[in-house]
Formats: sequence, structure tokens, C-alpha cells
Amino acid sequence: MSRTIARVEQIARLAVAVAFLMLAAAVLLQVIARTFLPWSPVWTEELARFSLLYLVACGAGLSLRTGDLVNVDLAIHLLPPTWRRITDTLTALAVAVFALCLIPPSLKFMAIGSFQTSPALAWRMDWVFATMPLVMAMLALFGFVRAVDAWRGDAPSVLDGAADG
Amino acid sequence: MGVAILFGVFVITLVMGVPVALALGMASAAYLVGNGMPLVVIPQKMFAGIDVFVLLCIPGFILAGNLMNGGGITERIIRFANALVGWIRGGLGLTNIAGSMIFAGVSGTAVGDAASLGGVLIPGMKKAGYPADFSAAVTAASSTIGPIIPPSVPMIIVGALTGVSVGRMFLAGAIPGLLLGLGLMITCYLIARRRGYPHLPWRGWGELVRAFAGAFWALAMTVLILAGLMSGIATPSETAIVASLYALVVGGLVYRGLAWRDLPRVLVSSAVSSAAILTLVGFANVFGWILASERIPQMLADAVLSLTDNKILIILLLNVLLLVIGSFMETIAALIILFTPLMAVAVAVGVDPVHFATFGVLNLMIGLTTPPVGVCLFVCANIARLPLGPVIGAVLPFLASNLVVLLLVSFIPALSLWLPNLVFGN
Repeated sequence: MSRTIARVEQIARLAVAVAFLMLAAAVLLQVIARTFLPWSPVWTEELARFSLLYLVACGAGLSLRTGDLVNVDLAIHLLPPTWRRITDTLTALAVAVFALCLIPPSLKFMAIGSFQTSPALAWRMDWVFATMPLVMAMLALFGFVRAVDAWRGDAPSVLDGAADG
Repeated sequence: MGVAILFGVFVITLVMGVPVALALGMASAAYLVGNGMPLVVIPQKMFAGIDVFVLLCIPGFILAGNLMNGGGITERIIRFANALVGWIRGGLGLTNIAGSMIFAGVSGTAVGDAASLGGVLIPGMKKAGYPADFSAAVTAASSTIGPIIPPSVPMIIVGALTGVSVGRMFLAGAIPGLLLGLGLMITCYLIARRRGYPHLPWRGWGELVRAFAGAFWALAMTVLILAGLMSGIATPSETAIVASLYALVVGGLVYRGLAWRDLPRVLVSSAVSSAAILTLVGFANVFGWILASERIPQMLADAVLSLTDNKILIILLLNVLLLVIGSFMETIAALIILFTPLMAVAVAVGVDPVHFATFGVLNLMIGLTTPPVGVCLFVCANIARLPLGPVIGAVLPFLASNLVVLLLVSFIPALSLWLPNLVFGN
């Protein structure tokens, strides 16, 4: 089981890197073409946005595990260690179950896309809308992983400096 | 009733320690189910919230900041700041503030600044004889400059939400950012003189020039970003990606602090941080849509405008409101949920949207250094290995200085509008 999760994590890390590189390549092509070439492709903007969506879909689950997805754990920190562990585990489970419940409506949303194509790349939009069921599936999977981590007593905390803002 | 469920679930899940993004999602789902609406609204609005071109800036600027950091820029910035102001009384405190101002031009988030500079400077200040609480307080207070001096992640999100030009907002932040730094430096100097904090010897012009040469490429990145925006050659999203390419070249070839084998790690960790911010943007967009459909922004705006339509009072009221919100709520969630209605109030009494965005973001950043949910305060206290209490006490004078600058920026529109209007026209 843990080997499968490690494999998924590896694939997700590779996927976010690829999505990021595609995004950067599309934007750079756009700047170079507009500045130096007589023509500029119309599809770079679309490709960059779609890459961003895939970056989010593949990275959201990972960010849950690293603690980048911030929570406010001030109240939790006041609890005695055993209760803290239980609360951490339960909230991570709640996240996983919530994300799991959102997979069917996200698939429904994705199905709407099969009737549409993107204007510049002429891609079928269900391939792009697929990022929504994907993000929910990743959040569900890594929610469960985080629950296991928390039960073992090593959930990340905002106090370690992993946060945004 | 629906609204009570929305806010009830949000607060309970937040206190339980659910990540802010998912707390917003759970509250939205509870509202939808309670009102017999389909859950497909969630992926739909989430998708719409993320599928915005200007949001591409976020991974771009985060990567640029991380590449510069990995390339050894932090030490060089600190060395330069130290050569510049370290010889004045309270020198390392001043170095900390000047370092934050320079670092602000590389990174777009306050917490990033607090963690990068604090990690080096807080232990350094403690070793040099500064009290730990003062060291943490200076670092936390000066990290608020990060998202005011461009680039700025909160301003990018405001741009994505309201359509206000990100380029204009970036330029609008430049002068207020310098004022914040100046105010903090004066405060730091006064405290240092009264308490007799140490200072370093003046190391001569030679060291200053050498340190400047070391930090030059970091300073040049701020110039590159501003020049890209001002000249109109590149949009903010394009500037962000060009900046990361620049950071890659500087970190790898000029500073040689970045090895090729580090790159995949830096790329993935930047992508994961960006994914976290954008997931929050997505879920907050669902929550914001529900608020809008319940006409809450409208009600809030009407309530404020029914109290008074005096511009000065409204600006004061907005400041108080945003400060309170900023000290309780996560910045991005606060932006997405409340910025649009509050901007509507401001615009209704004739405040320029860019001006409002500048003092609005400044308010929320000051909220990062006030209890109860001051993330920068937590991060710095944690680095200094202190409980929150003494750091809160030590941050008060700096907070006062930041509030004075806030008032100046709120009531003197020219401080924020002069530069963007000069460059882009009115």
C-alpha cells in the first residue's frame, strides 16, 4: 500500500514539474514571438492556462501533505498531545471524505466539457475539465495519507513556516 | 438560515484545524446541500476561479524567489544591507529591515520573506546580543513590506478578481513600500538608542561597493520586473516567467549557488506552493459566489454607505474593517470573499480602485503581524524559539509605525497613484 502511495506521489511530482515547464514554455514563446517574430501563435495563452490547471490538479494533494495548504492550528496547539493527534487525524479524514464526495459531481462537470472545444487549440474541453475530478481524487488520496501521518504523530504545522500570504 | 450554515461550518472546521481552502469548500458544500442545490457548482466555480491568465504570475514569481534564494541571494542581500546600515546603532535590526525591502523585490509573499530572512537574521541577532523578542518582532514587522513592493501575490489575486491592472498596482506599491521601510528603520533606531543595542564598525566604502556588487543581480531583478511592466513589453504573467528565467541564470551561472541537480526539487516545491495557493483561490471562489448570490456583499456595502457617505470616514471605516478581517482571516480567503464588495464601497465614494487596492492589501499584510492569526508573527516566534506573548509585546512599536504609514497611504492618494499615473497615464 505504502509503495503504491509512494509511486503516486512520484508521478504527481513529475506531473507538476511537466505542467510547470509547459506553462513556462508557452509564456516564453508568447513573449519571444510577439517581440521578435512577425507572427505570434494564438494558442500560447490557452496552453498556459490549461497547464496551470493541471499544475493545481496534480499539486494540490502534495501540498496537503507538505503543509503548504495552510490551516490555522492555534486552537489545536492548546490541546494535550493525545487529543491533538486525534483531532489532526479526524480533520485529515474529514478532508479525504469531503474530497471523495466531490468526485461524482466533478465527473458530471467534466461530462459537460465533451460538448465543447477550446477556441484556440480546438481541444475537447472534457480533457481540461478533467482537472476537477483529478484535484478531488488527489486531495482524497493525500487526505488519507495525512490522516495516517497524523495518527503516527508527524503532521506538518503552519508553525514550521510552510504557509502563504 | 443558509448563510448561518455557511459561516457556522466555516468557523467550526477552521478551528478544528482543517486547511483554510477545504474549510471554505466544506462550508460551501453544506450551504448547497442545505438549500437543495447541486454540488456540481463546486467544480464549476472552482474551475472558473483558477482558469484566469493573470494567476500564472503566482507560480512564476514563487519560482523566481525560490531560485534566487537557492542561488545564495539571501546571504548577499544581508551582506549588502549590513554594509549599508549595519554601522548605525541597532545595526542588525536596520539590516533586517533593509534586507526585507530588497528581498521584497524578489519575492511576493510576506511569509516567504519572514522565513528566508528570519532563518538567517534572528539567530544572528541573538548571537550579537539583541533580545530574541526584539529580533523576531523586527523580522515579522518588516516582512509586511514584501507584498507591497512588487512583485506581490495578493495584488495578483486582486487583479484576477476585479480586473484592476496588476501592473498599475505593482507600481502603486513602490512608494508605500519604501515608506514602510523608512518608518520601521526610524522606530528601530529610536528603540536601539534608548536601550543601547550594539552596532557594527563601519567597514569602509570598499566593503560597501563589494557588497553592492554581490547583491547587484538581486537588485537588478526588481528593476527588470518594473522595467518589463513600465515599458509595456510584457504583461505581469510574462514578466513573472521571464523573472524566473533570469533567476535561473543568476543563481546558476553568476552566483553558482544552484546546482543542476537542485533544479527539479526547486521546481516541484515551487509548483506545490503555487498549487496550494490556487486551490485556496478555487474554493474561495465557490464561497464568494455563494456570498454574491445571497447578496451579502451588496448588503455589506449598503450597510456601510447607510452609516455615512463622507469619504474620509468611509476610508477610516474600511481600514478598521480590513484590519480586523486581516487579523482573523487568511489573506487570500479574505481577498476573495471581501475585497470586491469593499472596493465597491470605496469606488462609490470616489476612491480610485488602484488606491483602494494598495491600502487594502497593506491592511491585510499588517494583519499578518497582529494576533490572533498573525502568521508572520508565528513564524518568527518559532524561529526565535519564543512563545507568542513576548513577541506580540515587542512588535507593538513597529505595528504603530506601520499603522502611521497606512494612514498616510490611505489619505494621500498621490503616494500610491503618482507613479502608475506617471508611467501609464491617467
